[in-house]
Amino acid sequence: MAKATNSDFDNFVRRQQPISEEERIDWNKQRDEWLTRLDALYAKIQEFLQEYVNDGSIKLSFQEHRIIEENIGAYASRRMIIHIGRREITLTPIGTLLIGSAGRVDVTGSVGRARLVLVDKNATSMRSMVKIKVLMAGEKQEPPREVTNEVDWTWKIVTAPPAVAFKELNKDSFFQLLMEVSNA
Amino acid sequence: MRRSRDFSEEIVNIQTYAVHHDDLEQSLKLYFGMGAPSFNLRFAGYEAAEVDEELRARLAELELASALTVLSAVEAAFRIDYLLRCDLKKRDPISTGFRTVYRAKKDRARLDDDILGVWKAHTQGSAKLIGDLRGAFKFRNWLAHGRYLVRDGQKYDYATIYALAATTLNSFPLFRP
Repeated sequence: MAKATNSDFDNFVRRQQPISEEERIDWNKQRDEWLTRLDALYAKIQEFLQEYVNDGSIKLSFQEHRIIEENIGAYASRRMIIHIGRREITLTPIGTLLIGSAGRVDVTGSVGRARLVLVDKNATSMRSMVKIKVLMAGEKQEPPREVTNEVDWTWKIVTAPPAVAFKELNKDSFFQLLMEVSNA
Repeated sequence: MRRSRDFSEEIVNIQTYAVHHDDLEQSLKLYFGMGAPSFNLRFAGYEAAEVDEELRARLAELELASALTVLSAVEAAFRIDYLLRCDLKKRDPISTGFRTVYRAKKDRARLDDDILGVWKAHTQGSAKLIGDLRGAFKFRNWLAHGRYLVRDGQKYDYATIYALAATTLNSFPLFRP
């Protein structure tokens, strides 16, 4: 049997260590949670529009929509279409592995686009979620804190630059958004 | 602040740029609106849906151009900080890390590996933001190199890039001229 060197043994020991944070992420679970929250968003919007749907002035429909994301791969979701007379407003899910949010849906009307994002209920903007500290010489980095289920994920509207703030999603703000993307 | 080089005065301020972008967006909407003086001449023979479609295409192109400008402003901010920290010879870990890079690469340090690499190694709480920035700079390179490869998804748009840029410039203690 060939003699193992210290270097071989070092490599062997290194390989037995717990896998990295990234490898431990359950991507399927993350995808499923995002799709569940997407359904919750659609249910909320249906509730906002209920009286108009009941009297026939607004119709809602869904189309299958394929999303491809790094680590997760390709999966099926649903796009919601709001028909208001001859106008159509489409809600397109973009994905969950995004910058500054756990999910995004683009709302596209005849001439405009707005964004709904899934963020921590307490977050007021992307800036409010980041705190960077420069380490002093010899100071070690702490392991990243795990995102837990304790985060209260909420759908919010993102305002346009330069403010880029997260605005509460309610019936009034959603109606305003629908008019903006339709240039009404 | 002592420094051994001059920086351009044409650096983009992203907040000012956001107003510029908004002005362009509103102008396009007015130009494509039925109230525009040139509307009947410009869109003679169009259906209403075709006008909307053309407006959407113009707005999408504007978004890409603006995302490119905003990301370039972020790169400039990191490069200026890098050069200033090298010149000022401060003793903090970021400055000493940059001077090590500078000895080998001078002004040709790579943003991704060299500059962001030093920031990632010597800060707490920056890993996610730096990961997002690296992804956004790949998107910037795709734009700058003529978009010839197929791009998956719509993860990056102007509003997202702007939010990332504003968060970055607000969160990193970058030296400014």
